[in-house]
Amino acid sequence: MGYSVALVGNPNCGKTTAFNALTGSKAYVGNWPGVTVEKKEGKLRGVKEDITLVDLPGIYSLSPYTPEEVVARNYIIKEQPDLIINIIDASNIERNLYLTHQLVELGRPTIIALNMMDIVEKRGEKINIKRLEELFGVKVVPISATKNQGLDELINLALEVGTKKVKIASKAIPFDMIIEQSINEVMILLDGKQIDEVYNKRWLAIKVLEQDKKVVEEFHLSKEESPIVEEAARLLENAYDDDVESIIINGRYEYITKHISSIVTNRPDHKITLSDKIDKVITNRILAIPIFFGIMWFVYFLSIQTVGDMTIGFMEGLFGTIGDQVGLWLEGMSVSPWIHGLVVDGIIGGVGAVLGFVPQLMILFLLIGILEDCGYMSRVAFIMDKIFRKFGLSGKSFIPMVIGTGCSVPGIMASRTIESERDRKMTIMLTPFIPCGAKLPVFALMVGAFFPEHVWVGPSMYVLGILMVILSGLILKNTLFKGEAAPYILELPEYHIPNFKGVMMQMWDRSKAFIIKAGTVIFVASGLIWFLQSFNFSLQMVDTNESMLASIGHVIAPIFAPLGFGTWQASVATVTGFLAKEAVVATFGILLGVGEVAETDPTLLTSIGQFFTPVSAYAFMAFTLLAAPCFAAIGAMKREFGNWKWTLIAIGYQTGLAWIVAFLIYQVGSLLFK
Amino acid sequence: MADFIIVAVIILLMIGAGYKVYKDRKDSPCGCGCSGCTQKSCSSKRNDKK
Repeated sequence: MGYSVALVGNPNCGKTTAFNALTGSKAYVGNWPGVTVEKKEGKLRGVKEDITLVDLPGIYSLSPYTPEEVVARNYIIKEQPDLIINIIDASNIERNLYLTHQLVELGRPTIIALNMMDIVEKRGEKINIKRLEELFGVKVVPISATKNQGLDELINLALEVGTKKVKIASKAIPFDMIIEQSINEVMILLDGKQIDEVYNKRWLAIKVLEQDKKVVEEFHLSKEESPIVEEAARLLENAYDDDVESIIINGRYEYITKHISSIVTNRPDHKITLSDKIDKVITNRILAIPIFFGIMWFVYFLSIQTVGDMTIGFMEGLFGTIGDQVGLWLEGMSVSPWIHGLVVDGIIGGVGAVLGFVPQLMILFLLIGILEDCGYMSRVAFIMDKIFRKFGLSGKSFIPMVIGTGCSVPGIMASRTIESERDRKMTIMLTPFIPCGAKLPVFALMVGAFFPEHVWVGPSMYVLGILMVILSGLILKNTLFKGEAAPYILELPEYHIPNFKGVMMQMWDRSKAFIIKAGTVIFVASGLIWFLQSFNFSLQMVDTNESMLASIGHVIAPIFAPLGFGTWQASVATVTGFLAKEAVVATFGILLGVGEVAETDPTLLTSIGQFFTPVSAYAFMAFTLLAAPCFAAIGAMKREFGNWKWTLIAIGYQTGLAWIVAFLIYQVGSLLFK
Repeated sequence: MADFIIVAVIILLMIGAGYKVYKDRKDSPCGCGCSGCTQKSCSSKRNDKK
């Protein structure tokens, strides 16, 4: 019969690395707190027993304040895993033990896996395992998940607990006398109540005393019971001159502080680490933002400007040649002209236009992966918190936006980590303002065509996105979302050399996702767009300018005329962006007939000049950046908002703002750069 | 005949593409199937079965 093991620990304690090592999973290690929003499951490898490992979200405590904490504690209490493995970062043991103190109160079988022991040994520190076991009443196994050390012992102990060869029962850690007195009074009260046996009575008594939000919702105290709890709480508050929750928190920390010197010995005096020195510069009040923009400039220069310049011509030639060869083959089979057009101009033209950007996007994904893996992106969230807070936002909102640089959908979903409803809704609405991977081919196309010498144009989209987030924060905090942003605690992990394999795998996964999307969504969209631009409403094959697409384009073109791209072709390309932002590039590829290449044929980069000027191209980029995202992201917004009302408000706000910004860019730009 | 075969192949490919998009979105918790997903715990990656 199978059994379950829950992995619980602070963010960045190496829990996911341990999970990967124990299950052989491909889950990646992140440097940001809140990356694992949902629990993950896997089978323990190398054993014949059926043991399911559940990787719970990284948490600092079992309070009811954040969704991750609620998910973790509900799982432990309601689903009753057979064993809890508390992964502790041994190099930060004091902070990690706060969670341990609460875990043992739950009364479930618990063991400690003391991770990162290699770092502890390097520092010359010693951890007294026996002492730790005595103080917390649990078995302790020292491990190093990255170096695969100690995992066999951990697995063996987990097996012994599961097969009941070793009995483990957590013991409650005592507080001081006055606190214990209050807890006992509430426990006596609970003895008289009908309570589900999944709950440990002592833990429940502490939560009732603390007026824990979730516990209070579930267990309604009667008119006779409430005064007893209030009296117990008042006793504590009078004794300590503080609120009950703070008293309990302090009680836990006092226990840890009192005993830490007997747990950890040979502690060196606090030295300024290399990470501290780097952070002095990276998070400096004056240098932080210029450094961030400098880094993003470099990333874009290397990927879009350098690699992009080198490869775009080759890729266009490649797909042009493919188009030629396929065209010849189709002619040899004497197919109808319209099928020739569909395959060569439609499908190869559309998909090829998008795939032409793969080399530069691979480099971009690689560089962003390096920034994530080395720990820099956590610093960006920290830097942004200072700025965001002035404008009614929290730095915690920036984490979903950083995730959104890949795709807005998981970025929008990551807003679930934000406990404040106000901040969460704002984040959902503003996350799409940060350029996602799908918008990059559009920017790369416009930069390549109109700004080949101007390396600031690509990164300026990030600047524009962040500016619009800040501006929106100002507007929305005085209108739809009045109130202050919630406080933000962020752990900055140590910098480390990016893991080459991890970064390469991530680059490959993202590139593969891009190519698959080109082969699926863009493939279908290209066929559809080609059909619409080749036939009229009577289904006769006509010139592009008399097609269904042209008719639709002429209807919507006036909306975009003040923005400088009022041609029907640019208008329909904008609209196809709702299917997928890459479809904008595919649409231009089809409309400009770049499925074939001859010596005299212009390329996509040269042909697009007929629809835009440099100013209107920049306005187009701004509109693409800020307007409502693709249908997939709109679907995610709807799921997170929970209703269409807020979704439509968000779409309306995003598109309206996009129009205004693009209008200003074009009108002012045209005056300045006549 | 060649026309028919090619159209049939294209339609089948499009149906296959549509099904893949639907399956990817159904399987992953974020429902993305997007390009450049950086969600590190995305189960569409986990579904590349061990």
